[in-house]
Amino acid sequence: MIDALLLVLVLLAAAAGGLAVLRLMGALPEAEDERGLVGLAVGLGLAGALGLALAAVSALRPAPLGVAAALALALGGRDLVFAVRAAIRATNLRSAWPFLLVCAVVLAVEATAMLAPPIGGDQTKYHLVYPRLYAERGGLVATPWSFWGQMQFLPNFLFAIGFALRGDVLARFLNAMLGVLAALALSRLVGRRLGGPGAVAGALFFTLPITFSLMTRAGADLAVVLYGALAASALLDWMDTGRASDLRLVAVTAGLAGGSKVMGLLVPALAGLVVVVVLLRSELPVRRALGPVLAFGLLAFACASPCYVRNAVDTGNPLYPFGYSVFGGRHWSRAASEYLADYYEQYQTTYAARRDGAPYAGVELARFPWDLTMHPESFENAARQSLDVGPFALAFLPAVLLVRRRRRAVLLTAALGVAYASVIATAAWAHPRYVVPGVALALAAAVPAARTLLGARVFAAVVALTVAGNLALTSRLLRPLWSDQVRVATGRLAPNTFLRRHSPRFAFWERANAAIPPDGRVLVLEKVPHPYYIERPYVLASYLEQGLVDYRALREPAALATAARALGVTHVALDVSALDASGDPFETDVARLWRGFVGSETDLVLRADGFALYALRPASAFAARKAAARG
Amino acid sequence: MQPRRSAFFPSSIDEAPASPGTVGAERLGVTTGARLLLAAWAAAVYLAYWLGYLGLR
Repeated sequence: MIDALLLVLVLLAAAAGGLAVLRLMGALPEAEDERGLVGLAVGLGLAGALGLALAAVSALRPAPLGVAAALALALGGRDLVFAVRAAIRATNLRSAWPFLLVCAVVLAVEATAMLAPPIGGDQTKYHLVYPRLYAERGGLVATPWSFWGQMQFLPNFLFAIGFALRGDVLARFLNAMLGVLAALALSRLVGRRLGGPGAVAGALFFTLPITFSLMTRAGADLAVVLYGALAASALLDWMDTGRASDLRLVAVTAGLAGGSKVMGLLVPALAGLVVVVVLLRSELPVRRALGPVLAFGLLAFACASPCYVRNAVDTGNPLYPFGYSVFGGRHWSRAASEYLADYYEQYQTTYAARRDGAPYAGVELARFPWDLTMHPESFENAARQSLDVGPFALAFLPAVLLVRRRRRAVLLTAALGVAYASVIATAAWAHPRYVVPGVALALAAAVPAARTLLGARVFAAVVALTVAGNLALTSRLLRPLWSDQVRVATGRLAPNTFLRRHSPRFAFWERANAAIPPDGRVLVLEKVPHPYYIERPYVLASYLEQGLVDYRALREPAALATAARALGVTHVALDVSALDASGDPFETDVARLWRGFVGSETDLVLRADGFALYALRPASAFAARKAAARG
Repeated sequence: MQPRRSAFFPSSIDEAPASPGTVGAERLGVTTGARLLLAAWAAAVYLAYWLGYLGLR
């Protein structure tokens, strides 16, 4: 209840702040009934930037956040009241209510899952880990022992605000809000710009099985979908009207997409390309066209930049650890970059076998849309439905060629979606989650296309069947957690009992946390650590995800022990399966080093659920003298 | 919001006439063929998708 109340307060403040900033920039949407949606979306992005700024000055606390909220409400409260009134006036539930009802039921199911502690996915690896760390300390924490500490973007700092105000439930509610807004933004894009039924587009996206996964596991992808859809809408408006305010809104929303995730930078890149092409095709002299292009670029850069600036300051590399060959970066190396690339290649190869294939090369990429729809399980260690993007976009996107009404807008939306997915698949990683922003735009364009192709009655039947299919598949994602999540939500199951039942990692760390004194520090020896459940100070020493503890230089157990003691380590936690890992020569060497290290430098404290905890022995007098002489 | 005309994009891919009465017989034939093809593609995608879940693909 308190989480829901705080969510409402955060949303009100964010919307007011977003509207105030948009007014200041002269970037308010022309349609008054869209201002609430756009203001809230922009406000949440700006809240992420505020979270980073407060963390940077060690003021990520409820009091400064409250002051910022009060200021936002004072500056934008009036705009917010008008925006809400306009949205209520324009709301027409006559044909949209069945879709809204379905989405409300899905949201209620998802919200129940959010009331239980987070389990699984990248959220326990980094999306929630570092935001919680920052919130606990009230500021940024140097984590040079994992590059994931630098993979923190605007949504993550929004989650940090959630943790600072309350905890993981509020943080995950905020993640879910990004998904709800994304569905509304897609609905507006289709209903207002593409001449299609907006509620259908919103419901088709919101009920997708992959959307359920993204809603219930905090991350940055929904933010890119949201800002991508808003940027596409504003771009179409600008192309229709030529208004400078629309262009500024494109820049702000596209910039926030870029600020939400490294891959999201493709949104301002594509939007900027369209802006340049449109201006070149216009009759404006080049000198006069330069002004809008520069304004777009500067505004988009400003909105995208906060987290990249932080990374540049922390590591010397705005894209850390990526782009090492260009920017360099502390605690990283060319060899580490190459090993990471090899790991990703190996990962893709392993799962591509599920479709009897291999990682795409060259023209094989043309298969990706088919595999994305038919074999989403062939991209990650996950069930098919958890990454399922549904058949609608692939089935009906080609029919955009038939569309006559708002043809240009439909074709451009489809082109943006396809271009986004193609560039990500070609230049980064062909993975369902990474191309979701492009899939969402393609889905939006496919809605009017399907209606043109099928006619109203068959279209309605296909939509009903598709949504029903989405729900049926999503229901399979409820097992095995949801029934226990309901019990946690209704107070019939303790959160720790829930975690113990479903997470071996938690089961180990619950005991390990108790065994490590509060002033201890644990070194985690695991290839891909998920440190969310660690409650003691820790250092991650993966041989894949960090270069502070450099296994290319440390060859002997004693050297690793010396390095660990220098980091203040008192205990060592080990993923026991890592001792037998031998996927490549480097991994084999590290496994040998870890075996020798725990055998000669530590004493076993406990062993459970595939992990072991050791106490690091104090340095011998001779070794201490030797280390002191070296140091 | 009413449909608006483009200030910058008066190009060949802008909105084309929608009335079937203005479309010649030959073009109508092409359109019907294209519609059938696109509908068949959509049906094939749905079929393959669900056969995959039913374990029949």
